Amino acid sequence: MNDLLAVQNLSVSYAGALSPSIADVSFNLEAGEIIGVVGESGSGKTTLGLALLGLLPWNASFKGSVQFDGTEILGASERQLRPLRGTQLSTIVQNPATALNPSFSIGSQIVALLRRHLNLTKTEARSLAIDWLDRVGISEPKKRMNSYSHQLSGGMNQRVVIAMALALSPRLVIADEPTSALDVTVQAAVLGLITELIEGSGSSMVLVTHDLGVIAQMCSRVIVMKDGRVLEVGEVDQIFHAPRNPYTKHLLDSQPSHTSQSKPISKSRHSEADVATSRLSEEYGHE
Amino acid sequence: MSEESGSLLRVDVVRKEYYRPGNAGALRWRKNERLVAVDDVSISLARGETLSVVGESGSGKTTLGRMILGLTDVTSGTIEFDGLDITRRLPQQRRQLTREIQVVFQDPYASIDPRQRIEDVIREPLDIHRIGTRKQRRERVLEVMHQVALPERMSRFFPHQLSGGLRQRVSIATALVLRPKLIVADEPVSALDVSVQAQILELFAELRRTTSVSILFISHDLGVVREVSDRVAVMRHGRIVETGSVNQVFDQPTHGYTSALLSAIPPADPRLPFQPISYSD
Repeated sequence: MNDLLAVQNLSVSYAGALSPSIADVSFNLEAGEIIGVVGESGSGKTTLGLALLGLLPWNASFKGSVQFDGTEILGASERQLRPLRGTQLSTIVQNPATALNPSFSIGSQIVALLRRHLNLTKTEARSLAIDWLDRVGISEPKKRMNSYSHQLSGGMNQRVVIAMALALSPRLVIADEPTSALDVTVQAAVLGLITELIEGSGSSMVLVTHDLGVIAQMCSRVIVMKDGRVLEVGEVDQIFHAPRNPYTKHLLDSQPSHTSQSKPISKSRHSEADVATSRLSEEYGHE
Repeated sequence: MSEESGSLLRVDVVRKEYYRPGNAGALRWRKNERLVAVDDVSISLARGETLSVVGESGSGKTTLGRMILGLTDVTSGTIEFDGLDITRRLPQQRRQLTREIQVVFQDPYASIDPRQRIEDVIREPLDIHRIGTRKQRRERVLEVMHQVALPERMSRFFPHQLSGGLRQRVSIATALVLRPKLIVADEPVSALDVSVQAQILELFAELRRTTSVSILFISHDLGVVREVSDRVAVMRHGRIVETGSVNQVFDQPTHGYTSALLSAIPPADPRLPFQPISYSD
């Protein structure tokens, strides 16, 4: 089996919740592949990302299996996971402001990461850190080493987070909404950067996002989730042009288009999520 | 800027400056830095028209909206509403203006009083302005609920019983209940899931088609404004870089920044190319 990641019948429930957060999710990921996970809020996409990282909170119970290169992630102890973290398995989170420690300069955080995992002297780690800041497009990287996260913009902070996620050349990166907090022009630049670095290093990525545009442009395959279940898995072209599941189609129809005005706001856009409203149109004949 | 006589709102070289402590340290107030949030902006809005103001974070779009609402003081320039100078509004003017200018905020979880029932939330503006009898107020509430497609049975619900999309409908109903001439909607769909967002956009598009209310639609997302607006103004660093009809701005943008902004939206179709243009001035 040459799958880097194999997820089988994964279910996760949080204590006290009425229904499982994710139920019976299975998929495989090959080395070098970028797979997208798309869904609306409450679809379980973030929980899936946490499960793949072995970061489920204590109040979550789970079933099934998540195998990363033959190692079981689900239920593994911190001790077992530690050698994988950073060097094999890494993550890019949504909000860079909370991912970085406000009390330490960004330079010292990158240096600490590099020295923790690689056998480097302070000077070597420092020059490697500067090199990474440069690679993720931060101007004057030497000067920025001494900056604190509050002195940098959101886009710059996200670049730092990306540098830290990729600095150890992990084989798999789980990115949960990596660009959702960014302005659209900054997002475009950061997406380009992620693609370049992932492709350059031959890493694989699971890209979790609600943004269909990001999925269409970044991924080779897509997993569509709703209410904790996988509705559809397919090649990106098939999902966008021949969706099999009605919900996928609905999601695509809901995407506002700026490229043509020929797509009028259709009355068929009833959301399953907004049952009350669609019921209303029947009751009142009001659209 | 066009000098339409029929314009409801005219914003004329309006400026907003903020002062913030300089890098020298928070206590050295004399070294304050001046920040121009809105830099001599002029826009006009006709009756029944929807104008979208689009810009990235820090472009000044929200400050512009707040000045029109009277929530932020104007540094210089004039705002004229319905032929009246409202740049510095008097207390008695303020009360009248809240009847005529209403607002819809971004986050319907934060902008609705969680302890009021939906009908009370929507009716409150009528109570405050003492409009109509109790019965007439109740009828008006049901009327706007119908207009925004909220089922009548939800009038006794509390906000926590409603989803984000339904809550945003409540906000819009509350904004509509006084029959205002202008609604300022600041990012009304950005907190919503894409399928719910589509429904709220549809509601805004319907308001544009069927009512005479003017709407100032503020958004960071060029992608969502096409379907709801007549005209679009693109803001950057406090200035309006381009204004025009929807078709003009989207299909033949004249400013490099507008093109960059449009090209930065990843197309939701893997067959379409994604080639963001970079822009710097």
